[in-house]
Amino acid sequence: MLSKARSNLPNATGDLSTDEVAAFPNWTVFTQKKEGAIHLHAGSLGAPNADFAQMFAREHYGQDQPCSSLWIGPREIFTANDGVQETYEVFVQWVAGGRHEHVGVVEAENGADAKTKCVGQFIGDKEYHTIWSAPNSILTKIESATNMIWRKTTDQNYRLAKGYSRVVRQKWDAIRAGAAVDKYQEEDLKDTF
Amino acid sequence: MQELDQQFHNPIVNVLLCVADDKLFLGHKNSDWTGLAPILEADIAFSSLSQDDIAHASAFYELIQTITGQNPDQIAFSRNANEYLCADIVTKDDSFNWANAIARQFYCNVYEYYRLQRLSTASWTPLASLAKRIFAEQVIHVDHVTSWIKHLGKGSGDSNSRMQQALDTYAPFASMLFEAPEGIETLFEGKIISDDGCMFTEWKEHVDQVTNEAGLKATVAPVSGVGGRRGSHGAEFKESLCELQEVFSTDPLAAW
Repeated sequence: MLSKARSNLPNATGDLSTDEVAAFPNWTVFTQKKEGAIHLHAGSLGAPNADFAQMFAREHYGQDQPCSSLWIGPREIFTANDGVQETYEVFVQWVAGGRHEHVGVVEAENGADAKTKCVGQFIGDKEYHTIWSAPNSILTKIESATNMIWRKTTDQNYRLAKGYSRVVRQKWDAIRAGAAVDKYQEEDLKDTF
Repeated sequence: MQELDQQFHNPIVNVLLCVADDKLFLGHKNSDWTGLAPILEADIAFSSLSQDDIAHASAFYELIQTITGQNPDQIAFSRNANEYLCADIVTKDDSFNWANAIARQFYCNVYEYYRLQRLSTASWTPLASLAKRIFAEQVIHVDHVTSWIKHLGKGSGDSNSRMQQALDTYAPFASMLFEAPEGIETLFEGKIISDDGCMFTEWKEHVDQVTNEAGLKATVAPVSGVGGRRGSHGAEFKESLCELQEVFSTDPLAAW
């Protein structure tokens, strides 16, 4: 049911143009489902800066499913080959179309070196599709141990696709069954009278 | 569950209704932004926070049920207007102006932070433990809206002046959040909840600190008078209530 306010929307005005919004940097988000689990590529989001990116990631990817840790970085750093000497988190996509998963940490001179070291230390002879690396100093890391991400105070099942779809399917089935009966009765009455 | 002496029943229900009704209506108003917020991720985030607020409200209605035995849905949706105890700022229309929505959210979220902190020291343990759990989530809400205030305050001249205007518009209504519900003195005297006499000061300091940092100013002052906490509501609240009850009233006994 639409609220009355929504049927009378004002036109947006102001400095921010649609072009500017479209040009927001893209941020790549990794989530960890529970402590000790592997960080998996969750998706991306558009945000004007790192602060907004982490704020949005907490609500978007952090509330999709139980989440104990979020890593967020500008999209381009993951594929970059340049960079400086530091610690890199490295991620492997084992098959095309698969999700990148975190495999470990390497000390490297730049992105290319991090990827080479990733092969040496974590992949070996195994087959893989692509590698991403991210300098630790650029990644934003949020840990639920110190900073709550997934909210479990109240029943969160409505946020989960599986809980939602089951309940909604049951309700629709009931409504459709009711509608079918109504339609049948209507036609039945028409035939009779 | 720890038994609460009969004499405290009505006063504590009033306090619980203040929290639950604030959160239900704020969540309801904010959910109007779903699909309409200025940027996609802000839309997802604001919707997620509204869901939280409504879930929190429902937890408080469930706590009321342990005292009165009423069904939480019935409490939430089938009272008369003068039986709702939210402060009217939660239903003050934002005219789909994002700065307005953020100003309303800011005043209310920071207030809720201090209120839940107080309630988490209640000597009635079911309330203390619920307030403590919800408080942990309220911290996230406050962080979120604080970020918005800072970014809009320091964004551009345009965003700063719009944010300032919104803070000014909502300031007079914000103070009414502090109106005392009926019977709260009984709870102070009975040491059920701690006296919240200086909560306004704490709240104002917090609001001032954030707005100063953002290059903004919140002109808030204590007010007196009878308002939402005593069931006296303006037209905007009544409109919201009708809207909220629209679906429920089609079949009050249905299981949703």
